[in-house]
Amino acid sequence: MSADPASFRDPAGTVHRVGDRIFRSVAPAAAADFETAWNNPALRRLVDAGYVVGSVAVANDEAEIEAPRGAKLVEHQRLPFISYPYEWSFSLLKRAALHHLDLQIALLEDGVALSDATAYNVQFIGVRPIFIDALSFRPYAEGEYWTGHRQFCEQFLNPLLMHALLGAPHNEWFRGSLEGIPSTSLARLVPPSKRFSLNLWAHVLGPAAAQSSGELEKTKSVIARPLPKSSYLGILRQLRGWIAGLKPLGADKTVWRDYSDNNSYQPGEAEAKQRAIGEFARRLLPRQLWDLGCNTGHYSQTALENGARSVIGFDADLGALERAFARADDSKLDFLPLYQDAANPSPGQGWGGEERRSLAGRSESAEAAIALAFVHHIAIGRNVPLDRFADWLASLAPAGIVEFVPKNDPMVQRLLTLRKDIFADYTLENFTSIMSARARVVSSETVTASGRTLITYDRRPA
Amino acid sequence: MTREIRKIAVAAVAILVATTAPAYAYIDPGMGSLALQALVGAVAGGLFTARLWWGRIVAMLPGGERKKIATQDKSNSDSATH
Repeated sequence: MSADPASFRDPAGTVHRVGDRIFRSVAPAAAADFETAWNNPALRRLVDAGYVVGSVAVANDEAEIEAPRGAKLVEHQRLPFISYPYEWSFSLLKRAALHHLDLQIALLEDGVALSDATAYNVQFIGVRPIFIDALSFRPYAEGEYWTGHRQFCEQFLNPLLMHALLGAPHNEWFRGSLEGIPSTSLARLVPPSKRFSLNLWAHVLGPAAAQSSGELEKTKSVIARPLPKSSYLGILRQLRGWIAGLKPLGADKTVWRDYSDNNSYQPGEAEAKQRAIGEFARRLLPRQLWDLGCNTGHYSQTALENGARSVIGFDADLGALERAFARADDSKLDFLPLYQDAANPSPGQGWGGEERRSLAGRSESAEAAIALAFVHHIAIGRNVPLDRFADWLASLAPAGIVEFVPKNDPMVQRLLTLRKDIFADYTLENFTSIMSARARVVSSETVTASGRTLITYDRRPA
Repeated sequence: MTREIRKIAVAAVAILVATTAPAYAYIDPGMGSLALQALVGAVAGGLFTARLWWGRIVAMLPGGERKKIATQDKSNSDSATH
Protein backbone atom coordinates (compact mmCIF):
# COMPACT_ATOMS: atom_id res chain seq x y z
CA MET A 1 0.00 0.00 0.00
CA SER A 2 1.58 3.26 -1.10
CA ALA A 3 -0.84 5.86 0.33
CA ASP A 4 0.84 8.49 2.51
CA PRO A 5 -0.50 8.21 6.10
CA ALA A 6 -1.13 11.98 6.18
CA SER A 7 -3.25 11.96 3.01
CA PHE A 8 -6.82 11.00 3.88
CA ARG A 9 -8.79 14.08 4.83
CA ASP A 10 -9.82 15.23 1.38
CA PRO A 11 -11.69 12.54 -0.58
CA ALA A 12 -10.74 14.37 -3.81
CA GLY A 13 -7.44 12.48 -3.92
CA THR A 14 -4.54 10.70 -2.25
CA VAL A 15 -0.76 11.13 -2.13
CA HIS A 16 1.30 7.98 -2.76
CA ARG A 17 4.97 7.34 -2.07
CA VAL A 18 6.58 4.79 -4.34
CA GLY A 19 10.27 4.47 -3.55
CA ASP A 20 11.73 7.93 -4.04
CA ARG A 21 8.82 9.19 -6.11
CA ILE A 22 5.69 11.10 -5.06
CA PHE A 23 2.42 10.58 -6.92
CA ARG A 24 -1.09 11.88 -6.42
CA SER A 25 -4.27 10.18 -7.56
CA VAL A 26 -7.21 12.49 -8.25
CA ALA A 27 -10.66 10.92 -7.75
CA PRO A 28 -12.85 10.91 -10.90
CA ALA A 29 -15.40 13.19 -9.18
CA ALA A 30 -12.72 15.85 -8.59
CA ALA A 31 -10.90 15.49 -11.91
CA ALA A 32 -12.83 18.21 -13.77
CA ASP A 33 -12.17 20.88 -11.10
CA PHE A 34 -8.54 19.79 -10.90
CA GLU A 35 -8.11 20.14 -14.68
CA THR A 36 -9.80 23.55 -14.79
CA ALA A 37 -7.71 24.94 -11.93
CA TRP A 38 -4.45 23.53 -13.29
CA ASN A 39 -5.09 24.89 -16.76
CA ASN A 40 -5.43 28.38 -15.31
CA PRO A 41 -2.54 30.57 -16.54
CA ALA A 42 -2.14 32.24 -13.11
CA LEU A 43 -1.55 28.88 -11.43
CA ARG A 44 0.86 27.81 -14.19
CA ARG A 45 2.86 31.01 -13.60
CA LEU A 46 3.06 30.30 -9.85
CA VAL A 47 4.30 26.77 -10.56
CA ASP A 48 6.92 28.08 -13.01
CA ALA A 49 8.09 30.59 -10.38
CA GLY A 50 8.54 27.76 -7.84
CA TYR A 51 5.79 28.97 -5.47
CA VAL A 52 3.65 25.86 -6.00
CA VAL A 53 4.89 22.30 -6.43
CA GLY A 54 4.72 21.09 -10.05
CA SER A 55 2.51 18.24 -11.29
CA VAL A 56 3.18 16.08 -14.34
CA ALA A 57 0.45 13.73 -15.63
CA VAL A 58 1.59 10.08 -15.71
CA ALA A 59 0.01 6.83 -16.82
CA ASN A 60 -0.97 4.52 -13.99
CA ASP A 61 0.71 1.44 -15.47
CA GLU A 62 3.99 3.31 -15.00
CA ALA A 63 3.43 3.92 -11.31
CA GLU A 64 1.41 0.82 -10.33
CA ILE A 65 -0.60 2.65 -7.71
CA GLU A 66 -3.77 1.39 -6.05
CA ALA A 67 -6.11 4.15 -7.22
CA PRO A 68 -9.83 4.06 -8.01
CA ARG A 69 -10.84 3.18 -11.59
CA GLY A 70 -10.79 6.29 -13.74
CA ALA A 71 -8.59 8.27 -11.33
CA LYS A 72 -6.19 10.77 -12.81
CA LEU A 73 -2.55 10.39 -11.80
CA VAL A 74 0.15 13.05 -11.50
CA GLU A 75 3.72 13.00 -10.26
CA HIS A 76 5.19 15.74 -8.03
CA GLN A 77 8.74 16.81 -7.44
CA ARG A 78 10.04 15.24 -4.22
CA LEU A 79 10.96 17.73 -1.50
CA PRO A 80 14.23 17.27 0.37
CA PHE A 81 12.64 17.37 3.84
CA ILE A 82 9.15 17.66 5.34
CA SER A 83 8.87 19.96 8.37
CA TYR A 84 5.86 20.87 10.49
CA PRO A 85 4.55 24.25 11.73
CA TYR A 86 5.38 23.36 15.34
CA GLU A 87 9.02 23.10 14.24
CA TRP A 88 9.03 26.50 12.56
CA SER A 89 10.33 29.68 14.15
CA PHE A 90 8.10 32.75 14.16
CA SER A 91 9.69 33.99 10.93
CA LEU A 92 9.15 30.69 9.13
CA LEU A 93 5.51 30.49 10.21
CA LYS A 94 4.98 34.12 9.20
CA ARG A 95 6.58 33.48 5.83
CA ALA A 96 4.37 30.43 5.31
CA ALA A 97 1.27 32.48 6.25
CA LEU A 98 2.15 35.26 3.81
CA HIS A 99 2.92 32.70 1.11
CA HIS A 100 -0.52 31.17 1.55
CA LEU A 101 -2.22 34.58 1.39
CA ASP A 102 -0.17 35.73 -1.60
CA LEU A 103 -1.19 32.61 -3.51
CA GLN A 104 -4.84 33.09 -2.64
CA ILE A 105 -4.81 36.76 -3.66
CA ALA A 106 -3.00 36.09 -6.94
CA LEU A 107 -5.28 33.18 -7.83
CA LEU A 108 -8.63 34.57 -6.71
CA GLU A 109 -8.25 37.47 -9.09
CA ASP A 110 -7.95 34.88 -11.87
CA GLY A 111 -10.84 32.71 -10.73
CA VAL A 112 -9.10 30.00 -8.67
CA ALA A 113 -9.90 29.42 -4.98
CA LEU A 114 -8.28 27.25 -2.32
CA SER A 115 -10.40 24.61 -0.63
CA ASP A 116 -8.46 24.70 2.64
CA ALA A 117 -5.80 26.68 4.52
CA THR A 118 -3.75 24.15 6.44
CA ALA A 119 -0.22 25.15 7.41
CA TYR A 120 0.97 21.60 6.63
CA ASN A 121 0.45 22.41 2.93
CA VAL A 122 3.37 24.85 2.99
CA GLN A 123 6.87 23.39 3.03
CA PHE A 124 10.34 24.91 2.79
CA ILE A 125 13.34 24.41 0.53
CA GLY A 126 15.96 26.26 2.52
CA VAL A 127 13.79 29.09 3.85
CA ARG A 128 11.92 29.46 0.55
CA PRO A 129 8.25 28.47 0.93
CA ILE A 130 6.52 26.17 -1.53
CA PHE A 131 2.87 25.13 -1.56
CA ILE A 132 2.56 21.36 -1.92
CA ASP A 133 -1.13 20.45 -2.14
CA ALA A 134 -2.10 20.34 -5.82
CA LEU A 135 -5.66 19.40 -4.85
CA SER A 136 -6.33 22.55 -2.84
CA PHE A 137 -6.94 24.49 -6.05
CA ARG A 138 -10.38 24.58 -7.64
CA PRO A 139 -12.46 27.04 -9.68
CA TYR A 140 -13.81 30.00 -7.68
CA ALA A 141 -17.62 30.12 -7.54
CA GLU A 142 -19.00 33.66 -7.54
CA GLY A 143 -20.30 34.61 -4.11
CA GLU A 144 -18.65 31.83 -2.13
CA TYR A 145 -17.27 32.34 1.37
CA TRP A 146 -13.70 31.65 2.43
CA THR A 147 -14.23 28.22 3.92
CA GLY A 148 -10.58 27.98 4.99
CA HIS A 149 -10.67 31.16 7.11
CA ARG A 150 -11.03 29.37 10.44
CA GLN A 151 -8.29 26.91 9.53
CA PHE A 152 -6.04 29.78 8.45
CA CYS A 153 -6.59 31.54 11.77
CA GLU A 154 -6.01 28.43 13.86
CA GLN A 155 -2.91 27.24 12.00
CA PHE A 156 -1.25 30.52 10.99
CA LEU A 157 -2.68 33.64 12.57
CA ASN A 158 -3.36 32.50 16.16
CA PRO A 159 0.07 30.84 16.66
CA LEU A 160 1.71 34.04 15.36
CA LEU A 161 -0.44 36.17 17.66
CA MET A 162 0.52 34.04 20.67
CA HIS A 163 4.11 35.02 20.07
CA ALA A 164 3.49 38.62 18.92
CA LEU A 165 0.89 39.63 21.53
CA LEU A 166 1.63 37.37 24.48
CA GLY A 167 5.34 36.62 24.01
CA ALA A 168 4.52 32.89 24.19
CA PRO A 169 6.10 30.82 21.38
CA HIS A 170 3.59 28.64 19.53
CA ASN A 171 5.81 25.57 19.17
CA GLU A 172 4.95 23.37 22.16
CA TRP A 173 1.27 24.29 22.09
CA PHE A 174 0.92 23.66 18.37
CA ARG A 175 2.67 20.32 18.74
CA GLY A 176 0.09 19.32 21.33
CA SER A 177 -2.79 20.62 19.23
CA LEU A 178 -2.12 19.53 15.64
CA GLU A 179 -5.04 21.46 14.17
CA GLY A 180 -3.63 24.71 15.56
CA ILE A 181 -4.59 27.15 18.31
CA PRO A 182 -8.40 27.49 18.57
CA SER A 183 -9.66 31.09 18.43
CA THR A 184 -11.86 30.39 21.45
CA SER A 185 -8.75 29.54 23.51
CA LEU A 186 -6.71 32.50 22.27
CA ALA A 187 -9.64 34.85 22.94
CA ARG A 188 -9.53 33.84 26.62
CA LEU A 189 -5.80 34.46 26.85
CA VAL A 190 -5.58 37.96 25.34
CA PRO A 191 -5.31 40.50 28.21
CA PRO A 192 -7.77 43.44 28.28
CA SER A 193 -5.00 45.92 27.33
CA LYS A 194 -4.43 44.11 24.02
CA ARG A 195 -8.08 43.79 23.01
CA PHE A 196 -8.42 47.24 21.41
CA SER A 197 -7.73 46.06 17.89
CA LEU A 198 -10.17 45.91 15.01
CA ASN A 199 -8.08 43.20 13.34
CA LEU A 200 -8.21 41.10 16.49
CA TRP A 201 -11.97 41.50 16.70
CA ALA A 202 -12.42 40.71 13.02
CA HIS A 203 -10.44 37.47 13.00
CA VAL A 204 -10.18 36.14 16.56
CA LEU A 205 -12.46 37.71 19.18
CA GLY A 206 -15.51 38.15 16.92
CA PRO A 207 -15.44 34.65 15.40
CA ALA A 208 -14.76 33.16 18.85
CA ALA A 209 -17.79 34.96 20.30
CA ALA A 210 -19.99 33.95 17.35
CA GLN A 211 -18.76 30.36 17.63
CA SER A 212 -19.59 30.27 21.34
CA SER A 213 -23.06 31.76 20.79
CA GLY A 214 -23.96 28.65 18.76
CA GLU A 215 -26.59 30.40 16.62
CA LEU A 216 -26.46 28.09 13.63
CA GLU A 217 -29.68 29.31 11.99
CA LYS A 218 -28.51 32.93 12.12
CA THR A 219 -25.21 31.95 10.49
CA LYS A 220 -27.09 30.06 7.79
CA SER A 221 -29.15 33.17 7.01
CA VAL A 222 -25.97 35.30 6.87
CA ILE A 223 -24.21 33.01 4.40
CA ALA A 224 -27.34 32.71 2.25
CA ARG A 225 -26.22 36.09 0.88
CA PRO A 226 -23.27 35.83 -1.51
CA LEU A 227 -19.93 37.25 -0.39
CA PRO A 228 -18.77 39.68 -3.08
CA LYS A 229 -15.34 38.92 -4.53
CA SER A 230 -14.19 42.38 -3.47
CA SER A 231 -15.02 41.48 0.15
CA TYR A 232 -13.23 38.13 -0.12
CA LEU A 233 -10.14 39.88 -1.50
CA GLY A 234 -10.50 42.60 1.13
CA ILE A 235 -10.29 40.02 3.94
CA LEU A 236 -7.20 38.42 2.39
CA ARG A 237 -5.43 41.74 1.86
CA GLN A 238 -6.29 43.03 5.33
CA LEU A 239 -4.93 39.84 6.92
CA ARG A 240 -1.81 40.05 4.79
CA GLY A 241 -1.09 43.61 5.87
CA TRP A 242 -1.63 42.76 9.53
CA ILE A 243 0.54 39.63 9.51
CA ALA A 244 3.35 41.34 7.56
CA GLY A 245 3.73 43.77 10.48
CA LEU A 246 3.78 41.17 13.30
CA LYS A 247 7.00 40.67 15.28
CA PRO A 248 7.82 38.08 17.97
CA LEU A 249 7.75 39.55 21.46
CA GLY A 250 10.95 38.85 23.43
CA ALA A 251 12.85 36.86 20.78
CA ASP A 252 15.71 39.35 21.07
CA LYS A 253 16.37 38.33 24.67
CA THR A 254 16.88 34.54 24.55
CA VAL A 255 19.89 32.86 26.21
CA TRP A 256 21.76 31.53 23.17
CA ARG A 257 20.90 34.20 20.64
CA ASP A 258 24.24 36.00 20.97
CA TYR A 259 26.37 32.91 21.61
CA SER A 260 28.22 33.12 18.30
CA ASP A 261 29.35 36.67 19.17
CA ASN A 262 29.89 36.08 22.87
CA ASN A 263 31.44 32.68 23.72
CA SER A 264 34.39 31.15 25.52
CA TYR A 265 36.65 30.55 22.49
CA GLN A 266 40.24 31.80 22.43
CA PRO A 267 41.53 33.42 19.21
CA GLY A 268 42.08 30.80 16.51
CA GLU A 269 39.97 28.11 18.18
CA ALA A 270 36.78 28.81 16.24
CA GLU A 271 38.85 28.78 13.02
CA ALA A 272 40.22 25.31 13.84
CA LYS A 273 36.68 24.04 14.28
CA GLN A 274 35.59 25.71 11.08
CA ARG A 275 38.48 24.15 9.16
CA ALA A 276 37.53 20.67 10.42
CA ILE A 277 33.87 21.11 9.39
CA GLY A 278 34.99 22.37 5.97
CA GLU A 279 37.22 19.34 5.42
CA PHE A 280 34.46 16.98 6.54
CA ALA A 281 31.94 18.54 4.13
CA ARG A 282 34.41 18.47 1.23
CA ARG A 283 35.18 14.79 1.86
CA LEU A 284 31.57 13.61 2.16
CA LEU A 285 29.71 16.11 -0.08
CA PRO A 286 26.42 15.23 1.63
CA ARG A 287 23.17 16.03 -0.18
CA GLN A 288 21.66 16.74 3.23
CA LEU A 289 23.53 17.43 6.45
CA TRP A 290 21.85 17.78 9.85
CA ASP A 291 23.29 20.37 12.23
CA LEU A 292 22.20 19.41 15.76
CA GLY A 293 22.33 22.46 18.02
CA CYS A 294 22.82 24.72 14.99
CA ASN A 295 22.53 27.97 17.00
CA THR A 296 22.67 30.83 14.45
CA GLY A 297 23.90 28.52 11.68
CA HIS A 298 27.57 29.57 11.59
CA TYR A 299 28.86 26.02 11.00
CA SER A 300 25.89 25.13 8.80
CA GLN A 301 27.09 27.87 6.50
CA THR A 302 30.66 26.53 6.67
CA ALA A 303 29.39 23.09 5.61
CA LEU A 304 27.36 24.60 2.76
CA GLU A 305 30.32 26.64 1.53
CA ASN A 306 32.41 23.46 1.44
CA GLY A 307 30.22 21.10 -0.53
CA ALA A 308 27.18 20.17 1.59
CA ARG A 309 24.23 20.63 -0.76
CA SER A 310 21.68 21.43 1.96
CA VAL A 311 21.55 21.68 5.74
CA ILE A 312 18.64 21.10 8.12
CA GLY A 313 19.52 22.76 11.44
CA PHE A 314 17.90 22.09 14.81
CA ASP A 315 17.98 24.17 17.95
CA ALA A 316 15.79 24.77 20.99
CA ASP A 317 16.58 28.50 21.26
CA LEU A 318 14.09 30.54 19.26
CA GLY A 319 16.20 33.71 19.35
CA ALA A 320 19.15 31.86 17.81
CA LEU A 321 16.77 30.34 15.24
CA GLU A 322 15.60 33.82 14.22
CA ARG A 323 19.20 34.78 13.52
CA ALA A 324 19.74 31.50 11.66
CA PHE A 325 16.68 32.30 9.53
CA ALA A 326 18.10 35.75 8.74
CA ARG A 327 21.45 34.18 7.81
CA ALA A 328 19.79 31.66 5.46
CA ASP A 329 17.62 34.38 3.93
CA ASP A 330 20.31 37.06 3.55
CA SER A 331 22.97 34.71 2.13
CA LYS A 332 20.45 32.66 0.07
CA LEU A 333 21.57 29.43 1.73
CA ASP A 334 19.88 26.05 1.31
CA PHE A 335 19.60 25.95 5.09
CA LEU A 336 16.42 25.30 7.05
CA PRO A 337 16.76 26.05 10.80
CA LEU A 338 14.04 24.30 12.83
CA TYR A 339 12.91 24.23 16.45
CA GLN A 340 13.66 20.96 18.16
CA ASP A 341 14.35 19.90 21.72
CA ALA A 342 16.70 16.94 21.27
CA ALA A 343 15.68 15.51 24.65
CA ASN A 344 12.05 15.52 23.53
CA PRO A 345 12.08 15.43 19.73
CA SER A 346 8.97 15.60 17.49
CA PRO A 347 7.04 12.34 17.88
CA GLY A 348 4.86 10.52 15.34
CA GLN A 349 1.44 12.12 15.78
CA GLY A 350 -2.08 12.41 14.44
CA TRP A 351 -4.22 9.52 13.23
CA GLY A 352 -2.56 6.20 13.96
CA GLY A 353 0.42 8.10 15.34
CA GLU A 354 1.80 8.40 11.82
CA GLU A 355 0.07 11.34 10.18
CA ARG A 356 2.93 13.66 11.21
CA ARG A 357 6.21 11.80 11.24
CA SER A 358 8.69 11.68 14.10
CA LEU A 359 12.05 13.38 13.72
CA ALA A 360 13.84 10.01 13.68
CA GLY A 361 11.37 8.79 11.03
CA ARG A 362 12.47 11.63 8.75
CA SER A 363 16.20 11.02 9.17
CA GLU A 364 16.54 8.73 6.14
CA SER A 365 17.46 11.79 4.07
CA ALA A 366 20.31 12.81 6.41
CA GLU A 367 23.62 11.76 4.89
CA ALA A 368 25.77 13.40 7.56
CA ALA A 369 25.39 15.10 10.93
CA ILE A 370 27.35 17.59 13.00
CA ALA A 371 26.77 18.08 16.73
CA LEU A 372 29.00 20.91 17.93
CA ALA A 373 28.98 22.21 21.53
CA PHE A 374 25.91 20.07 22.03
CA VAL A 375 26.67 16.88 23.99
CA HIS A 376 26.99 18.65 27.37
CA HIS A 377 23.52 20.17 27.06
CA ILE A 378 22.05 16.69 26.68
CA ALA A 379 24.37 14.63 28.90
CA ILE A 380 24.71 17.15 31.75
CA GLY A 381 21.87 19.63 31.15
CA ARG A 382 19.29 16.87 30.70
CA ASN A 383 20.97 13.91 32.50
CA VAL A 384 20.90 11.67 29.39
CA PRO A 385 23.56 8.92 29.75
CA LEU A 386 26.39 9.21 27.20
CA ASP A 387 25.72 5.78 25.67
CA ARG A 388 22.09 6.67 24.98
CA PHE A 389 23.16 9.95 23.45
CA ALA A 390 25.64 8.08 21.21
CA ASP A 391 22.93 5.57 20.16
CA TRP A 392 20.64 8.41 19.13
CA LEU A 393 23.34 10.38 17.33
CA ALA A 394 24.66 7.38 15.38
CA SER A 395 21.10 6.39 14.37
CA LEU A 396 20.37 9.74 12.70
CA ALA A 397 23.04 9.78 10.01
CA PRO A 398 25.70 7.33 8.79
CA ALA A 399 28.59 9.74 9.37
CA GLY A 400 29.29 12.84 11.36
CA ILE A 401 31.33 15.01 13.67
CA VAL A 402 30.55 15.31 17.34
CA GLU A 403 32.34 17.76 19.58
CA PHE A 404 33.12 16.55 23.09
CA VAL A 405 33.14 19.44 25.56
CA PRO A 406 35.14 18.42 28.67
CA LYS A 407 34.06 19.09 32.22
CA ASN A 408 36.66 21.81 32.82
CA ASP A 409 35.29 23.87 29.89
CA PRO A 410 33.68 27.14 31.10
CA MET A 411 30.37 26.26 29.40
CA VAL A 412 30.15 22.92 31.25
CA GLN A 413 31.23 24.58 34.48
CA ARG A 414 28.33 26.99 34.05
CA LEU A 415 25.90 24.07 33.79
CA LEU A 416 27.36 22.58 36.99
CA THR A 417 27.47 25.81 39.02
CA LEU A 418 24.33 25.20 41.02
CA ARG A 419 24.23 21.42 41.03
CA LYS A 420 26.08 18.36 42.20
CA ASP A 421 28.45 16.74 39.71
CA ILE A 422 26.90 13.29 39.29
CA PHE A 423 28.63 12.72 35.95
CA ALA A 424 31.70 10.66 36.82
CA ASP A 425 31.73 8.90 33.43
CA TYR A 426 31.55 12.16 31.46
CA THR A 427 35.10 11.96 30.09
CA LEU A 428 36.62 12.10 26.62
CA GLU A 429 38.06 8.58 27.01
CA ASN A 430 34.70 7.12 27.92
CA PHE A 431 32.84 9.00 25.18
CA THR A 432 35.42 7.95 22.55
CA SER A 433 35.08 4.33 23.58
CA ILE A 434 31.24 4.59 23.49
CA MET A 435 31.36 6.11 19.98
CA SER A 436 33.86 3.42 18.80
CA ALA A 437 31.34 0.74 19.76
CA ARG A 438 28.80 2.29 17.38
CA ALA A 439 30.89 3.56 14.48
CA ARG A 440 34.40 3.80 13.14
CA VAL A 441 36.19 6.75 14.77
CA VAL A 442 37.86 8.29 11.72
CA SER A 443 39.71 11.02 13.60
CA SER A 444 39.86 12.80 16.92
CA GLU A 445 41.18 16.37 16.99
CA THR A 446 41.53 18.65 20.01
CA VAL A 447 40.56 22.15 18.94
CA THR A 448 40.61 24.31 22.08
CA ALA A 449 42.92 24.94 25.03
CA SER A 450 40.16 23.67 27.34
CA GLY A 451 40.33 20.32 25.53
CA ARG A 452 37.25 20.41 23.30
CA THR A 453 37.66 17.52 20.86
CA LEU A 454 36.06 16.86 17.48
CA ILE A 455 35.35 13.16 16.94
CA THR A 456 34.68 12.25 13.31
CA TYR A 457 32.76 8.98 12.99
CA ASP A 458 31.44 6.83 10.18
CA ARG A 459 29.33 3.71 10.58
CA ARG A 460 29.50 2.63 6.94
CA PRO A 461 31.98 -0.14 5.97
CA ALA A 462 35.47 1.33 5.37
CA MET B 1 -43.63 52.40 -11.17
CA THR B 2 -42.98 51.65 -7.48
CA ARG B 3 -44.46 48.21 -7.96
CA GLU B 4 -42.07 47.56 -10.87
CA ILE B 5 -39.04 48.59 -8.83
CA ARG B 6 -40.20 46.27 -6.07
CA LYS B 7 -40.56 43.45 -8.59
CA ILE B 8 -37.03 44.05 -9.89
CA ALA B 9 -35.67 44.14 -6.35
CA VAL B 10 -37.38 40.84 -5.48
CA ALA B 11 -36.04 39.29 -8.68
CA ALA B 12 -32.52 40.55 -7.92
CA VAL B 13 -32.59 39.06 -4.43
CA ALA B 14 -33.94 35.78 -5.86
CA ILE B 15 -31.09 35.65 -8.39
CA LEU B 16 -28.50 36.43 -5.71
CA VAL B 17 -29.85 33.70 -3.43
CA ALA B 18 -30.05 31.22 -6.31
CA THR B 19 -26.44 31.90 -7.30
CA THR B 20 -25.09 31.47 -3.79
CA ALA B 21 -22.02 29.26 -3.99
CA PRO B 22 -22.45 25.59 -3.23
CA ALA B 23 -20.86 24.24 -0.03
CA TYR B 24 -17.53 22.92 -1.29
CA ALA B 25 -15.68 22.48 1.92
CA TYR B 26 -14.35 19.10 2.99
CA ILE B 27 -13.26 20.91 6.15
CA ASP B 28 -15.67 22.52 8.62
CA PRO B 29 -15.52 26.25 7.89
CA GLY B 30 -16.71 27.04 11.43
CA MET B 31 -19.82 29.01 12.28
CA GLY B 32 -17.98 31.90 13.93
CA SER B 33 -15.67 32.43 10.98
CA LEU B 34 -18.48 32.45 8.40
CA ALA B 35 -20.77 34.65 10.49
CA LEU B 36 -18.26 37.49 10.49
CA GLN B 37 -16.95 37.27 6.94
CA ALA B 38 -19.77 39.29 5.37
CA LEU B 39 -19.22 42.16 7.80
CA VAL B 40 -15.42 42.03 7.87
CA GLY B 41 -15.31 41.58 4.09
CA ALA B 42 -17.54 44.59 3.48
CA VAL B 43 -15.34 46.80 5.69
CA ALA B 44 -12.02 45.42 4.42
CA GLY B 45 -13.15 45.48 0.78
CA GLY B 46 -14.44 49.03 1.23
CA LEU B 47 -11.21 50.18 2.87
CA PHE B 48 -9.17 48.66 0.06
CA THR B 49 -11.26 50.42 -2.59
CA ALA B 50 -11.04 53.69 -0.63
CA ARG B 51 -7.26 53.35 -0.38
CA LEU B 52 -7.06 52.66 -4.11
CA TRP B 53 -9.07 55.81 -4.90
CA TRP B 54 -7.11 57.84 -2.36
CA GLY B 55 -3.90 56.70 -4.04
CA ARG B 56 -5.27 57.82 -7.41
CA ILE B 57 -6.29 61.21 -6.03
CA VAL B 58 -2.88 61.70 -4.36
CA ALA B 59 -1.17 60.67 -7.60
CA MET B 60 -3.06 63.39 -9.47
CA LEU B 61 -1.83 66.11 -7.11
CA PRO B 62 1.43 67.93 -7.91
CA GLY B 63 4.39 65.73 -6.85
CA GLY B 64 1.98 62.86 -6.15
CA GLU B 65 3.31 60.42 -8.73
CA ARG B 66 6.69 60.10 -6.97
CA LYS B 67 5.01 59.36 -3.65
CA LYS B 68 2.91 56.65 -5.27
CA ILE B 69 5.98 54.93 -6.75
CA ALA B 70 7.76 54.99 -3.38
CA THR B 71 4.76 53.31 -1.73
CA GLN B 72 4.70 50.61 -4.40
CA ASP B 73 8.40 49.85 -3.90
CA LYS B 74 7.83 49.38 -0.18
CA SER B 75 4.98 46.95 -0.70
CA ASN B 76 7.04 44.92 -3.20
CA SER B 77 9.96 44.48 -0.84
CA ASP B 78 7.60 43.09 1.78
CA SER B 79 6.47 40.23 -0.43
CA ALA B 80 6.76 36.80 1.17
CA THR B 81 8.05 35.26 -1.99
CA HIS B 82 11.03 37.55 -2.53
